[in-house]
Amino acid sequence: MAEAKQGSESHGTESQGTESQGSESHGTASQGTASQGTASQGSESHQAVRKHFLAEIATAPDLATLESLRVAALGTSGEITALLRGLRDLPRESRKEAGQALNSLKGEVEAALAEAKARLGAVANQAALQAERLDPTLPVDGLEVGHMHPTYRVMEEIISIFGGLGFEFVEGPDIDSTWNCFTALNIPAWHPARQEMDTFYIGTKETEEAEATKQQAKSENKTGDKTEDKTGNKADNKAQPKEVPDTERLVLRTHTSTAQVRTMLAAPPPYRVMTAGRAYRSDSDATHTPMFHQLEALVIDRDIHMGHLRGTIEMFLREFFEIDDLPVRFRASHFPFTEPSAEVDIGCRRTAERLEVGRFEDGEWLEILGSGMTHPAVLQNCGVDPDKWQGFAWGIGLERLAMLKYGAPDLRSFMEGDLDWLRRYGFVPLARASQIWGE
Amino acid sequence: MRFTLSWLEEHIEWHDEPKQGRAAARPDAQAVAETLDKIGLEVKALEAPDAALEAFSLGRIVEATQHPNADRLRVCKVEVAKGGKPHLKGKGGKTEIVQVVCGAPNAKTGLTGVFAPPGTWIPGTDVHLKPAEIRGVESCGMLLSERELGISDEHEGIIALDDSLKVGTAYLEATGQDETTFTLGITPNRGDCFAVRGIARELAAAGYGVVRPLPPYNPPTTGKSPLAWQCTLSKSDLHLAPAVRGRYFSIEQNATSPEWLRRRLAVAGTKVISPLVDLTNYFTFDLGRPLHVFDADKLTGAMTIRRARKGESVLALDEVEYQLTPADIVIADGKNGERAIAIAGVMGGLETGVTAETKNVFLEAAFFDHESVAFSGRRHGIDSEARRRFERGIDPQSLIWGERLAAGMILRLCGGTASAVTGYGTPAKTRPAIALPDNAVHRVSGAKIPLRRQRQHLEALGFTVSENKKAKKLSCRPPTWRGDITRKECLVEEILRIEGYDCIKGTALPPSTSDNQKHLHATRQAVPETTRQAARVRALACLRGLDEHLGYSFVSEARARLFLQDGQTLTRVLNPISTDLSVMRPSVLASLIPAAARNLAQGAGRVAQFELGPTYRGGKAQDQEMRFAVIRAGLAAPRSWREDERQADIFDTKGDALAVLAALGAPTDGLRTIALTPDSDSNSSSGSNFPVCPGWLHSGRAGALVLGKSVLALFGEIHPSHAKSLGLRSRAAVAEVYLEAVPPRRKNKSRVEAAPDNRLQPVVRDFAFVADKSLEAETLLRSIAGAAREEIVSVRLFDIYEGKELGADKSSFAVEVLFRPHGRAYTEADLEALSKTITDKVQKATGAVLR
Repeated sequence: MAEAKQGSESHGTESQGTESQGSESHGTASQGTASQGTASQGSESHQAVRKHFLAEIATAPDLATLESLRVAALGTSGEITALLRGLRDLPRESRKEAGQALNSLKGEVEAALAEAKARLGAVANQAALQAERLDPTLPVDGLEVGHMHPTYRVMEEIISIFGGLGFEFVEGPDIDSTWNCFTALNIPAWHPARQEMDTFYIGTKETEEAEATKQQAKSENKTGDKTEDKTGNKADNKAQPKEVPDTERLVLRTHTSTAQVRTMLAAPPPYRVMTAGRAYRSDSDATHTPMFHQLEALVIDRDIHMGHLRGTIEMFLREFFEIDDLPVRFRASHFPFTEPSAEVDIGCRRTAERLEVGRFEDGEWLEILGSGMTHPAVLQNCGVDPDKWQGFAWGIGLERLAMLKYGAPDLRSFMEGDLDWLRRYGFVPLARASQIWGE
Repeated sequence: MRFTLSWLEEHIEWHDEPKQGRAAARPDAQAVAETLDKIGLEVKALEAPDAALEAFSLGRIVEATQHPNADRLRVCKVEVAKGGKPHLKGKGGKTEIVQVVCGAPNAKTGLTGVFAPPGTWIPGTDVHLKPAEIRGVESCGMLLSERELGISDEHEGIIALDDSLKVGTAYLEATGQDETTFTLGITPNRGDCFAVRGIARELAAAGYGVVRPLPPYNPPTTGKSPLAWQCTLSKSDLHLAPAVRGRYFSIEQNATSPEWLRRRLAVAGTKVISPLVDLTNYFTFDLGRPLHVFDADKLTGAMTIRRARKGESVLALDEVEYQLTPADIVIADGKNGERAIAIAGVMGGLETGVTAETKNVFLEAAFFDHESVAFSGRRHGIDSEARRRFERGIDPQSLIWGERLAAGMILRLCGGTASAVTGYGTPAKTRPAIALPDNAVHRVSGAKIPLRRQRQHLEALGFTVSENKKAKKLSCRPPTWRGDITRKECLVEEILRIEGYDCIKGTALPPSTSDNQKHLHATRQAVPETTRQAARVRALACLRGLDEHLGYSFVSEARARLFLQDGQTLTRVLNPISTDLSVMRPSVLASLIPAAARNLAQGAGRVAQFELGPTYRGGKAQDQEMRFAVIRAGLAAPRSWREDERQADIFDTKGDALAVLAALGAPTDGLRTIALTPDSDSNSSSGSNFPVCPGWLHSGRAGALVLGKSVLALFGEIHPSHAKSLGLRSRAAVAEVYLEAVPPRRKNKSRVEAAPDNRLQPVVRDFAFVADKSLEAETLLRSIAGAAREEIVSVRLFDIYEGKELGADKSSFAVEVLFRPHGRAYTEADLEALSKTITDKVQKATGAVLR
């Protein structure tokens, strides 16, 4: 089809050319002299001319050669023009027949010229374009985007999962009161958990003014809890009159649960919230950094029970790890702020080099998060009536999730900002739609 | 908490069927571990016996003679298991005599040692044993030292074991190491499980058998105790030490503890000291009953319980002198109790401790307030076994039975006589009953557990339960050892954990009962604007080629001070983990710059990093502030075949700041750039009180982006003299954006006005203005744009030229101005007139003239 069309197009241009050529030859014809030949002689020489020009045209190497052939055949003093001019000298009876033959010869040559011109023109065009050739394989710039930190990536992933379930995302400050961090959460001053958490204390203005030295900081930290000891209260205050009451002391939150407390204090139930952010514990080794990130969820409503806790966590873990048959186990545990409490384990496989999450024939259990039904004392402390409202809470470490899902091996690397590490374990933005980028 | 199944057997009789089964064999350790995990007693470790020591058994030297050819060697005839293989456990078997050449000085007739037959591997020396000829005498096997066994460095002599042990018994069996050892992590609420008996009780409730009753025991007594207890605590303090018991003993020996006790303590992981100390430790691990023994001959006056006095100190058993405060409760002696001899519930004193020579003993069994013990222990940093149990709560009744059983054991191990018991106070016999509504378990768990079964679980745990059918509830009285059970939720937890959490089925969340539409349909709205802003900024920054950093919130004091701004106070962590992490960062740059510097130092040719995170103006919760910071150093972009190399500069980070501000919804058209100058007097732009250049920025290369009077961002180059202290080896451009200074986006203002209908072709004209070098570009550009505000669409600076022909203090600014006509197309005359207006106005306003 394409070829046929091309052919008809070249014929079109050719006929135009013929016309103008024709008028030109007519104009010059009157000036020409008569040829001497006869019709029979003529037909023989016609054949030779035809053969000569068609062969030359077919093998013309370029447009210039072609043009000189055109002039030689059809120009004012071209051979075919001369033959046409010679018609006048023929007797009238043979003139018609010879004229027809000559015109057919002229048409044939013109067609051949047009065809050759189109063909050679295309070649010339191509050559001109090739002269401008660029190497399209050259590399481009602008693809070098930066990488997102895996901790925030994981945070966005989880916010997306729970945002879809109607969980509201709330935020809380890193520096908070001891009351919000411990007392409200049913961790009284004497509680062993209070020591296990290795709390960082924040200097107040008074301590700053007093040029608090490190030593002082140490001794304050050690004795700090005692004012809540109701029995020792008086004696202590006498001994150290300037001490700040324990519940007002400021700490770097040891968990993001402070945001739960703030949420409950700020508005009446029901609650269906999640929070995420920085948490701090005075701990530093291969598996602990003094700062890390947690994500927590809190659901308080009229009839929320542990089945909902289990359902929500199972859904979340399977969704997050993208493993539909991920084994999830709940087992009894204890946290001061939940009762009943449950540790949640997921299926995994350990080899010398790696820890893989999933369902395996020779699988083991891996502790992944702590959860439970919010302790009635916590609800009471936050002004929620535990006889009317109940629900659950759970919390998880974001770095750990990132390590498990994406294989980043060393917790400490998360805070070092090493570019090689980030380019290996970080993420290109927009690679996955996120619920929280929307308007 | 460490123990073995055979230790558990002291307290549990295994049954094959849950609750009512028949006696059964010892269960599989792995299965027991799984059960413990499920019911809330987390198994931290399960250690199987050391397989490398399995081939060794006990051998006894029946005859030791001098080696004929070596002074230091002996030729021993040793009775060992026939064939060298250890006898099966508890079975016994035949023995034979073999000849062993031995160099140990203690290789004497009658010694019971550890025999390694030929063909075994010696772990301590990594030798495969073969029959050998030593100086012409055949030797067939070896008697091992501790070093050869790989258990210590001791190699002076061969191991000498208790002579009462049977020849041929496996070494691991004889020393109690033939069993799997459990290590549990006990949660803070379960003081009762800091005892092997407590764990046995849990396993019994979980269906493994029944708990053996404690033997009722009252030791034979001979008269009153010469030492008596007295309490000088005030009435309001009496709850701190409500009851105590004691007994006086005259003993025959306190030299060595029996093998079974030593083995148990080895399992528990504590040192063997003397029978008196060992048995008190054993009571602590076995029954959760802390006790203390004093050398009665070192005591005078009455045993007194009182508050410590100010300035008082006690030298404790760990040989540390502790300074006491009146918050501490102490045990004291002397006429008026003037000498403190123990910190109550935490640790005893060194001076009054028992020794191998002790003849008379005073046994203390007390009940102290858990909070008081917790605070004392924490204050002095003593984490003793006694404190751990007291602060988590012990069974008050153990005061009575524990003291009696201990008295019996003292008489058994040390001989001698005991006095009558002395003491004061009566420990609580019962705990208050708690009502459990019959629907409580279902309401909390969603699981259906028959009431009869709930009752069974509680009773198996030692609760006294009665049913009130009319009131539809169970009345549950917790046992005395469960001080942690205080409300119905505790009962629900007990029932659920014994039933197993597998009874709880995953259920989808029901719709919220909130009448707030936001909660009902919350998806995107659920995420607050600040969080979404942060996500947008992160994505934007990455697309601009910046890598994200996440830095610590705390930095060194020097760094914090460097970046401290007006209105910020230095906020210390009082107990920092290191001085590098001791002050809350006042700026994200304080932690971002060192991270970038590390990357540069590690050979990164270009660094472009950002962090979006909190900063702290002060030490209060509300002092936290979100900021975005960026640093660029080295090449502006990776080397490319298309473009020339260029170093990153402050205009790159100014661009970052502007892009971030745009993403935050700041009105970027209204933003002005202010050049920061070293001192406030010569503020070049408007004389208003905009910030001067902070010390950490290059004062000739720093600017602020301001909206009205508020500063939204700072940008500039790091001051060369601070670059070094921040670890930077090259110039670096930075910017910091103050997210909270950005005015919030107005809601419902997003409609855009349509363009006029008859859009006419815009026209471009280029201008070149020659101005003083001191003229700020923004002043010039604003002046151009303002000259024909209606018609000028945009003004774009595309070239800056400096040259001799202009004069040394002049610059030429080439500007492309885009005009859009209104109503009708421009004529050449219109454009001439426009150009003249612009040049006139600009010259008047700035002094810049058309070139």
